[in-house]
Amino acid sequence: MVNEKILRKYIEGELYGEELINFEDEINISASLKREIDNYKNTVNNFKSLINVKADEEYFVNILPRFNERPAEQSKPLFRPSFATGGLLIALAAVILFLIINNNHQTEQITFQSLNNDEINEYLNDYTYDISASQLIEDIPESYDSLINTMIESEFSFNYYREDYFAETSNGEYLNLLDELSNEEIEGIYNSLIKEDFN
Amino acid sequence: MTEKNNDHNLVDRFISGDISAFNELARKYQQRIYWHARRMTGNHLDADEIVQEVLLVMYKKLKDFKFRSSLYTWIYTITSTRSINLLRRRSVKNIFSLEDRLTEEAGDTDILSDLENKEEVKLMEKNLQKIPVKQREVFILRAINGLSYEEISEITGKSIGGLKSNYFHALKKLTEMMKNG
Repeated sequence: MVNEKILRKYIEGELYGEELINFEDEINISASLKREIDNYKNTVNNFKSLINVKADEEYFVNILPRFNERPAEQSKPLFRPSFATGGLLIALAAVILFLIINNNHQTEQITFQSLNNDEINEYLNDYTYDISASQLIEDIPESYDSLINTMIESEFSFNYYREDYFAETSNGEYLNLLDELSNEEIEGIYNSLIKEDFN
Repeated sequence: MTEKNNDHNLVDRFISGDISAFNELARKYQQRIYWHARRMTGNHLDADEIVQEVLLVMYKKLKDFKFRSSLYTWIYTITSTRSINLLRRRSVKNIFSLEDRLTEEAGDTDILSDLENKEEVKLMEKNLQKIPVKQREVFILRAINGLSYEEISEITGKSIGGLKSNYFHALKKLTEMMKNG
């Protein structure tokens, strides 16, 4: 088996000195090796001849005029149709997702006018216990805002100088309260107050 | 004036705005570009497309050419790259296309001048298409264009050892094909 590297070197004329002499000796005693080498050389010579192949001169004459006549480069569109479609689909999906999420978190807006007396009492019980003004702001759910605002505006007056209580009743409301009491109730309160020791 | 100096002069003139210098360069190299592309792709139409592409690249990129290598090796690099890219695109297309490639070839405009050995030339071009593209590239540049391995290495970016190996594999395959007709 002939070493391919030496064979290639020989064909390419890269074999010198003793190496060349030894290989030529080998070729002289092997007809198949000589035939193989001749085949390779023929192939190379055949392909080398392609350099002399001529083509229609008119074609080459026209290359440059055709190049110079090429249509002016059009500016590439910023968005290809595929990009535009993709972008549109992504935007659509984002809108749908937003609507779904928003719908899940949407709660009914509660207004003072929409509640009956029992409901108002329930909210009063829940939110009028003794809390500070800062707690009130933190704890009240967003949906109660309008209700509490209305209640605060109409029912209470803030005492901003006290941290522990957020509201106090006005003098006018004491009078209204007394008007609503029966004589028996007033007398009962009076009697109980007389018995109290305020010292 | 040497070829390199002449090229340098033409490139400088083109960069300065002299379009006639570009035309001169194009005329000088258009045949080399065409034949290299034709041997790489195996047909005239693809080669023609590549010629126009390479001229366009030259037109746009010549201003950045720094003459670190010869202009012709740079042009061969562009031509080889464009040819390989086109062959890749073509092979992907062929996978998905129901059209017979032979039908396409039948419509090829042949610009070969009337030659006695026209059939032999066509057979050699056809055989070239049967070997791997990297081996084909080295074989064309070495055997047909007569470039040295150093120049081919500059064009392809491959090591000389690898190029020699590719060349010999190509030679063996082509010899086998020629033997079998």
